[in-house]
Amino acid sequence: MTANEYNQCVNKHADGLYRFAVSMLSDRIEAEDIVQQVFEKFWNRHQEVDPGAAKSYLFTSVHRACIDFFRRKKTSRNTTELLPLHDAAMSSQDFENKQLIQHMLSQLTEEQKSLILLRDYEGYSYKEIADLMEWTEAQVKINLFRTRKKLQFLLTNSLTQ
Amino acid sequence: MKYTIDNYEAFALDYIENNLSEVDRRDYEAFLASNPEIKRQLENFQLLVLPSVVVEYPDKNKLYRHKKHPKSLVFYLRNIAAIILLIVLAAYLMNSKISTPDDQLVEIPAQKGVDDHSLENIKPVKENLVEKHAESLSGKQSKFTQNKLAVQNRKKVEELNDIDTFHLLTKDNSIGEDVAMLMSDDREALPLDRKQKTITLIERKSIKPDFHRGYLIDKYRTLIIEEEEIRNETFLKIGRLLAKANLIPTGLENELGEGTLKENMIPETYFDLK
Repeated sequence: MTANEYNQCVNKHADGLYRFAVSMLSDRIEAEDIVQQVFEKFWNRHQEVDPGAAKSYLFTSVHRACIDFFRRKKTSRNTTELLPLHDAAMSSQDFENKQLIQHMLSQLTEEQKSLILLRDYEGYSYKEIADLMEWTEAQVKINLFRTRKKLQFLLTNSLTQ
Repeated sequence: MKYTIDNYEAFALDYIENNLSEVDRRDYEAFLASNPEIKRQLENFQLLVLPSVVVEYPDKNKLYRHKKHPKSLVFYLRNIAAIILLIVLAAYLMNSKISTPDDQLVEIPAQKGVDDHSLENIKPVKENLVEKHAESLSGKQSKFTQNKLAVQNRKKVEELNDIDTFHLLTKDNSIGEDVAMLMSDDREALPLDRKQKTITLIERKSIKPDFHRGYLIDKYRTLIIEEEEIRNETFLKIGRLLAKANLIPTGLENELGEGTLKENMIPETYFDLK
């Protein structure tokens, strides 16, 4: 991978990686640090990485860094800072929906959050998620199914309250 | 494919997302038909997908890397030329410093013994300056440089004859003039106290040490002081003789007693006594 290809990876994936990290950690500053560190390590090895495998490499690294962060801090579901979802063009209903989703996300475990974010935000296939999380494909599907069931349960409960 | 309670979850999403083959779908529906509770779960299941969110990394500039471009041949040639120019300039400046010493103005030949109180032997050795300087450099520099130095030194020697130039060189008008007189044939015209003062000032201003001239100022000053001591002693002797002859001027008895009688205290007429 050349320097130009590396910079193209920054353009393509930095935002997604940052979004993923913030959603996982609920901490924008920590998420920024993790993404920066991951890109720094990526640059040190950029000549060994195939451009086609860059996305997988980057998300795997960020995911591992987030898990390490959880293990160090032993934080899982306490939401301190969420994604800045509100903007002027958003309706109040949309804003409430998104707040609700963020609240539900905060109720998930780290692994469940990873599954949902990688599938819904980044569009990873089951196989790609399996490679990233070092699971079998079956494990990914089972856990994702259960995660979605849980989300549905949380949503139903919040709507009935 | 045989679906069971143990493995149905692994295919639930594929079933919901319609990713199963026709055959596998029929088998899965047969399983669901046999398990109404699970069937109800899947019927009520809503595939909740998170809405997309646009988030930007705060400062991508921190992440970009710029490859260093290999330096061109012109770049290296320019640097080499600059280095060569600096070396040539430094060599020129060093040569200039060697060739124009302002520490080689005058030279006084060494005086042997203190008996020789005459100041005649202390002369500026300007005429040897050129040859001596050339000799010191002959072993180290080319003939061209030696000739160049010789021309420069000759000019310096000529400048020494000019008291104004000497003033400029010593940066002190008063001392410059006295030093010039000291070194010239007009030294006898310099009063004794000014001679002493001049020598002392030369020492203080460190002109002597910087100029390699072997000033032997110490010896010179010794000669001056000895001369003055002899003179003072002589006056004292004269004073005592006058006192014996009751010819000592009134009011000078104390000076005579303390030995501080000076030449200028005695009226000139006394020196005409026979």
